Amino acid sequence: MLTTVLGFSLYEEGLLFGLRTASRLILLSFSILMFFISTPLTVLIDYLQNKGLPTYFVLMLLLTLHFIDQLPSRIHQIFLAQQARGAPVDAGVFSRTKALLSILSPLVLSSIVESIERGTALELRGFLNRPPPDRQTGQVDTRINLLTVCFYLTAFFIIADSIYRWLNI
Amino acid sequence: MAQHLTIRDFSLQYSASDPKALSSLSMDVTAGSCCAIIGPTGAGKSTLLHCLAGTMRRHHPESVASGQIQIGDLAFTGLPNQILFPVAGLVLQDPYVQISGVRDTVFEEVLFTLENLGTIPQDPQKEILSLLQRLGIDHLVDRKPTSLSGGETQRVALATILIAQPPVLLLDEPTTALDSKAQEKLRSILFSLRGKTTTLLTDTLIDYALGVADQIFLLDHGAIIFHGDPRTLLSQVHNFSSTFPAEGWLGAQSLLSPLEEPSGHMQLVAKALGLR
Repeated sequence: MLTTVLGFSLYEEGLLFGLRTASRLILLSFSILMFFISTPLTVLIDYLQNKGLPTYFVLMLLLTLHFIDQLPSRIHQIFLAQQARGAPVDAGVFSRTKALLSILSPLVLSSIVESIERGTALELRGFLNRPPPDRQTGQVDTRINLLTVCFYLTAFFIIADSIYRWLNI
Repeated sequence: MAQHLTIRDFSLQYSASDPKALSSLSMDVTAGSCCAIIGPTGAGKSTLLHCLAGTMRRHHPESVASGQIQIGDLAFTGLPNQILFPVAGLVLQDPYVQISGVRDTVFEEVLFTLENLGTIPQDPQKEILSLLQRLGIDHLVDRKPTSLSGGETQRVALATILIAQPPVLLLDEPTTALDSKAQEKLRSILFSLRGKTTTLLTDTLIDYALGVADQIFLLDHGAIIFHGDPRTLLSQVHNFSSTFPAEGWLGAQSLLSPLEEPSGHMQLVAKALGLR
């Protein structure tokens, strides 16, 4: 046992487990963040289509990513609307938690409605019949630069190392 | 090239147990003309446009339809099973959802439609810029499509459909998010489309349609209660005062009164109908 905090005993194993879990979560969050910052949606959908992913799945992915992209501004709008109606969004933790529930319901409903409408709008622009981008231009982008090779190699070694440690070889 | 649109005895139920959302509609819209479908909320205007665009069967497979729809040489009994774009292009009521969000500039957003169709021309730059110029939004060509005002977004949404040169253009309540200046701009765009595209637009207000449409259909509870040209509607507008909110035909009333001087949009309507 390392120490006692507010009556709770703190062990080295527990502390290490906590740190490990927290760092994994941070790593996961940063990976997702890095993916969104470094990969424009345009590039992603074109790439997935070129790789043969059916357009319907690309549409679903596109709507989901768009929803995530719009989430902060949507939450802010609903937050303001609830505040204007007198919801105690600036009060204590308990009141804020209660207010969060009043935000969740319109957030989910409006997001579903908007996703359906956006999906319809994309269908109405012929998205589901969209030919893979390679076939639109007749050119296949086969460029592989040094940066891409380094990225793939690094990713490979990180994954291999994780598997190695996980298996305790 | 504009196509003739014919609807014969068309009825629709969202499911067999539901009441009719559209009831025995018949319409003839001449190729290249502009037709307005006016009705209060829930009258069936958007439903009709979705039937014509081909989205109804996909989104409501349990819907039951009878009658005929014909666009040019394409004829359907009941509902079309596939989306009819680019034969019929539908611009939705909310222009913001029409923006894909996957392209960084207005130019790329419009090009996205051509990519979907697999029909990118030799010089897309020239074609897209020419369209944007016609719509008065060529200065927005490099702007981010999600950062535009309501009126600008409406015109970009229109451009994303018009670039495919649909023979039939369907506009679902295009004036909803527009101020009077933007409505005026839309009016001139609709005039410029005459002869090139058959246009069907819906609205809840009578006044706007009087100035833009060649013929007007009034729709209530899924049925047509009036069909005629703007001048005929104007002479009978009081008959429909219980169906439409007063603010929807205040302008029309001003045209009927010899003492009132029409203002704004209604001045143009009066001029077009030869009333002043």
